[in-house]
Amino acid sequence: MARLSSLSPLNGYQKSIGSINLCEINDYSLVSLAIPQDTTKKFAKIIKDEFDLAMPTSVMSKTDKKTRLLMTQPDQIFSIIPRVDNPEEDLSKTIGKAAYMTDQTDAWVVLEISGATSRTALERICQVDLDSNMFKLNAMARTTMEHMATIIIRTDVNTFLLMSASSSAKSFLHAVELSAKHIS
Amino acid sequence: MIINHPLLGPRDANEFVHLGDESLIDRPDGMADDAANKFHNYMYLRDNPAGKYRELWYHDAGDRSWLVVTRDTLTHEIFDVELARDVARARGRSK
Repeated sequence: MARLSSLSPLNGYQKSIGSINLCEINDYSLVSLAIPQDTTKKFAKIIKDEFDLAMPTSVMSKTDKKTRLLMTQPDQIFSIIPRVDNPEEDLSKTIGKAAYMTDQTDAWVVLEISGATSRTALERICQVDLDSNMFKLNAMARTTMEHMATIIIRTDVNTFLLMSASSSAKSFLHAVELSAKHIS
Repeated sequence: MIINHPLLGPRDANEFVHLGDESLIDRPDGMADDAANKFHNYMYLRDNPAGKYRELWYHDAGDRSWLVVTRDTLTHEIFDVELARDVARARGRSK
């Protein structure tokens, strides 16, 4: 039987605009983990055992070379892991005992913006203060860009991951691309 | 207007949706003898003060948390921002 797999929302988009590099990241699986009430300590221990990572906070993600954990709202964690066919199944043996899981890989588009002027481009569309003293390495925020819900994560001095809904991926790309063009 | 989110820090008000009076947290018991009267008050009666007012705000474009914001309706000065969950639990709610 043929195995079907979904295309990424922007089909592997990659472009340089002035000193800015924009590319779609699509080599990940994204699983939402909802923590049952009053079991945060148990969940934190399982996260430590599974990923060797501490619990993220609402403003700071935790990461090693493979995995990134985000606290997207109280009692909800997003785990971004290397892409696998069925991440729920993979995680169910361990984390599944401490959280309700939903595979959200296809619900999101992830853009990476990098380059010396990336922050200048983002300043035009992002309301969060991205100064490196305020928004440090691995800092994250859920906010909006051009009225589209966005999660922004700083992965390097001038590199950010931007996550938004896959259903409006092209509009989101247009907003970021246009901002990059305007400062180039 | 900037709302100082208790978990996330200062955020622009346009990330939030305003719902109204924080008394909406205290939903009456629908099985009580005077439930109809209490629900009438719950649904329709508001004080609408010119001054300090406690309101529910929802962080729609953020972490989806409900907040109780104490705001001056004349000046928009914000005095306090609490997680609605904490307010409800302090009143004996389990969730």
